[in-house]
Amino acid sequence: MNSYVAGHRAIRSPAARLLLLSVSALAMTIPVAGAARAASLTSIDYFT
Amino acid sequence: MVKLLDACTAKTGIKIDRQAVPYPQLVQKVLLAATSQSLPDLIMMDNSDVATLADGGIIVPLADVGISTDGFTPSLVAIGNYKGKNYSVQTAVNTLALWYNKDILSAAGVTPPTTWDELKADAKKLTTKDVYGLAFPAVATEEGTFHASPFVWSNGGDFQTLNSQSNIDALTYLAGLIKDGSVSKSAVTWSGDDANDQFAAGRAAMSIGGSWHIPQNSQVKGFNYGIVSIPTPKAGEQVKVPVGGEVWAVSATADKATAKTFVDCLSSDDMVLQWAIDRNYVPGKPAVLDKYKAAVPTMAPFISSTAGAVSRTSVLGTAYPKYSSAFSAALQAVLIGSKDAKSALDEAEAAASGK
Repeated sequence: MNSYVAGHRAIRSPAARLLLLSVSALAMTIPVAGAARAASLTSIDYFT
Repeated sequence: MVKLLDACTAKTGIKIDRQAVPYPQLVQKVLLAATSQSLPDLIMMDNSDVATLADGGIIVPLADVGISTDGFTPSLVAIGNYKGKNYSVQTAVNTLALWYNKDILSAAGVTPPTTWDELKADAKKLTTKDVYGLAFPAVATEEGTFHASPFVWSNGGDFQTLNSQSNIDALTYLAGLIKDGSVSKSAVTWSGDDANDQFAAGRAAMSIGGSWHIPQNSQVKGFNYGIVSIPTPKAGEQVKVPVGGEVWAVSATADKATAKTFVDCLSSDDMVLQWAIDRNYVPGKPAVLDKYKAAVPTMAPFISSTAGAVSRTSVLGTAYPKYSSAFSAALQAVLIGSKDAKSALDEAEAAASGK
């Protein structure tokens, strides 16, 4: 996270920063989608 | 099992899509799923199968998932070790003890034996025309090895070097019980359930059996039984026992954070306690032992025995089945008297090690 923030601040071009913000916003949705998927698990066990 | 999973779903909000298969199919099914990229996230397997799935990269070390085994009995945690890493959580275990028929022993003036000498003498004294002094299963499978292992380990032996003097002495001792007539020759055909059936039917005064027999034996009307630790070679020694039961592991393709959350729930104190009570297993967490003993007092001998728990597979890993198979073949040969213990175990060692 720290290196990402540092890299973000280093970008001076407004267009580049806008693009980066879009990518960043997209990236932020991934964990949310992942969390929704991860609300279930598959399992296997046995009986004798 | 359903009760346990439902309880953790209620606690974590994580739903489980569960598949249950017959025991002999589980490893095969998981290996097949791995080839088709359809591994389940969580795998509950017999603890003797950990090495096989760890070796194949099917399950991942607990440390990679962030799952801690803090709070569990160290000797039981070691059961999930393979090549220096821990792969599974065993929340509770089953093991073996010496069951005895209180009425038969009392009538003969015999108290439960604590040493090998006492066991031999008592088994002989308790043997009559209709009743054998002792029953134990010695079928030529892993079950035979499992039930003989307390005698091997408690005598200082192991399954890595099959023809050690300690192993030779242990097998010679067991064969002596049959030679004395104190154990039926049919033991070589008996599974654990068969030996327990003999005991529960009053045809054996004592039996080497597991905690999983408690539900069945407690239902037998008028059956007045007791349970103590398996005798050791000398008085006061800690018996070494195998521990069976199921472990939880996380597959290589699982969502690690979700898997960790769910396994952490399965490993929580209240879940460990409930699972142990429901299954007649010994809980793997000392923190819940007092509550457990109060709830299931008949399990006391099994609890004290697990202090000497030994992993069957943590040293031999995937080679264990080969050594176990060779050992059980030797056990049979010695018990039926076709070979002496040294010859049988020399052959077993050669067969297992390929030397």
